[in-house]
Amino acid sequence: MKKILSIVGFLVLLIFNSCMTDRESENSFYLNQINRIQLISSKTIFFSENIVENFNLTVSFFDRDNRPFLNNFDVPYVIYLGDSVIKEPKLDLSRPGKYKLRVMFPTRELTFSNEVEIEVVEGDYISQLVLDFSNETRNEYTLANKETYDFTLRAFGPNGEIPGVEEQIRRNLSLKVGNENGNRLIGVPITQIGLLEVQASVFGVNSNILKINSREDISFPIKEFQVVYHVFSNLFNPSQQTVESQINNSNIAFSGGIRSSFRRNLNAVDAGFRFKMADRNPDGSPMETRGINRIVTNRVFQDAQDRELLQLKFNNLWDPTQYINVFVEDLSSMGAAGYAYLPFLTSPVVGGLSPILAPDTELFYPIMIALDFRLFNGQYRDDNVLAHELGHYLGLYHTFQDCQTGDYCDDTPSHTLPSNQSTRWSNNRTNCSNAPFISTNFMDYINSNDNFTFDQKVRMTKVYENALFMPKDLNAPDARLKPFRRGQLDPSIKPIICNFL
Amino acid sequence: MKSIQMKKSLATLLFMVSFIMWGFEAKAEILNDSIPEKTHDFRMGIRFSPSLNSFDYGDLSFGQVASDYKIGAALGMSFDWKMSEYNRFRLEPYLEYQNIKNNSINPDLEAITSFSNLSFGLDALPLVLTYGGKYKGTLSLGGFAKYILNSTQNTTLNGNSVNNFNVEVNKLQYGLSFGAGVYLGKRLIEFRYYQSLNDFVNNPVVPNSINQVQLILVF
Repeated sequence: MKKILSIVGFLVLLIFNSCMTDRESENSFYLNQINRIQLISSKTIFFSENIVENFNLTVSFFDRDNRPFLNNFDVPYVIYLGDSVIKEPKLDLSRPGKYKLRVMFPTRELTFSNEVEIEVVEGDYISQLVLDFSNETRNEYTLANKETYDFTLRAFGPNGEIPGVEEQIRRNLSLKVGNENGNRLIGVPITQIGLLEVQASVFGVNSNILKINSREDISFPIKEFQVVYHVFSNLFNPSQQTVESQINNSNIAFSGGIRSSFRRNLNAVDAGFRFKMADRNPDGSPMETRGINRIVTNRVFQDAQDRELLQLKFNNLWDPTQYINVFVEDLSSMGAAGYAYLPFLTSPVVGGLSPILAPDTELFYPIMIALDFRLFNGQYRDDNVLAHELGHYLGLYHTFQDCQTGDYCDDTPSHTLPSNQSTRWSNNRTNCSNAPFISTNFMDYINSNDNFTFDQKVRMTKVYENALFMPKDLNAPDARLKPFRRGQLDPSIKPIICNFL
Repeated sequence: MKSIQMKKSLATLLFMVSFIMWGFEAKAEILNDSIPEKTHDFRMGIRFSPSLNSFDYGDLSFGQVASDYKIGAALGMSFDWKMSEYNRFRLEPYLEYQNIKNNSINPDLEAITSFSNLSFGLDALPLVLTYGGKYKGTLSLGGFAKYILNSTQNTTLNGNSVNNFNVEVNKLQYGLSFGAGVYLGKRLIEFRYYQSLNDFVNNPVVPNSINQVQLILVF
């Protein structure tokens, strides 16, 4: 009887004491799906400093079918540095050496991640320090005391580029620009004139040297032109407001007043040219509609390059030494928004404009600008087409001209147009050395543009001063200019056609 | 909490002992009256049994039900044959509603999979030892089998329902049972411990079986 009592008592005790059982291993069916943990450290190389630095870990969990598990979930895991558990991913950088890092999740059988080796190294680990321009300030030419440079600095070790050390580089950087020393890579001002060498130094290691040609901006007297729009009576009669809009935008463009969302170009300048609507006819009488001359014709030209049309325009050209002639046409057969004829010079002051002609040469080509009429009827919206064509008119080439001579302006990086249509209009360009840069020049085909550069200004000024047919009366009213003589049309002279629609 | 549980267990132990002793005294009185006792009888009663259910992940000792138990209940019949003076045989079919929970122990990540099962069970107790008079103490040993008619499950992660997780359960559960209790005339009160011998959830990592304690009341 006593035995029975003992057994019963024992059983009852067991039953109730069982309520005290605490579990020690992770038995969750759900959490035990974790089968693999992948650990990636954004940074595996640290330079030795007397600080404790945080590092970022990317920890991914996978189930038995190797599918991502517990995505977008803050999963608590245990971090092991060597065999020690650390609460936070921090490393004492004062102690050089190699450390093994892994994380663990306490599933029933503890699941460990892969092992990541991290190393605290001295400066001599760096085999190469590469200093470069940022994409937005990639230019070997600049203007002193204007825009600031941004640079990039990358450290390379035995295994290639050392990732994630930007912050340490920033803390320990020395940057020498000419004779001046600084400690930053962003917003570096250029205050000296001449050919400057730029070199960075980190942890006792020197970078390559970049060379910057720093010039002083030169202000030329403002040169003003009067512009006459020629419109054909049977095509389209633009309002004065719309034609003035293109003139106004051109004035802002040539004065350097347009701003895009990109940072201002290092060499952006006031180009020193201004434009206004003509208000008098060549005979001196007031124009019926200011700035607009109507050419009466019944002919309809399907081809914008029709020889008869060319002759018609040549015949109706107003004195090119008095006016800039702008024809409003249907350029759909060209697929162009506009085109312009380059000038001829009387002396070889700039490259790319030949042959050099005698000052008394008769007019033999229609020096003019053509704009598609759709720019004025609301079908196309681009306020800078006239500014672009005026750039050609004043002797500028496209910045994407070629990789040999380029556009004859040093401070516009030589490049070509991307063949891929999706990137054709992007401001992100690649120069002829295959380095990326941001283009915002008016003479490029890009979504957003805002500048003429210093070298473009100098070129346009030299062209202006030496061009055969260039309206200079407004700027030198007392000058003794040779009278305009219209000769025979030479149809072989071709304009620069701008297909940026 | 621990001391409260201990007091409860002691009180229950005393309660059980007093029942058994009472049964012993009653039998003595009957013998003195020299009335011959039946050697074979059959009893049938209604069986109601609330239960405590918990998972055994191989971390429980014999007789243990873990603290993360859930409550269930069963209703059925009890067929009870007297085989000899000290041995009876019982068959107990029943329908059972059973709750059980699978918890994470991670303090920073609460993952819970809850199950609710409706099953048909049959307990076969070939060895039911009794001793005493009108109130007989009893120990039982047998086996059980349950077929899960319906099982629902729900998993939450930090309180948020997880939709794409469903575990496979074994519909047939079987195992051993051990009980101790007392006959109060035709009535029976018994604590019975059920140790399942197969996994409830098919899981490659976590071995699991259901442990259960039932308080069996037969009327």
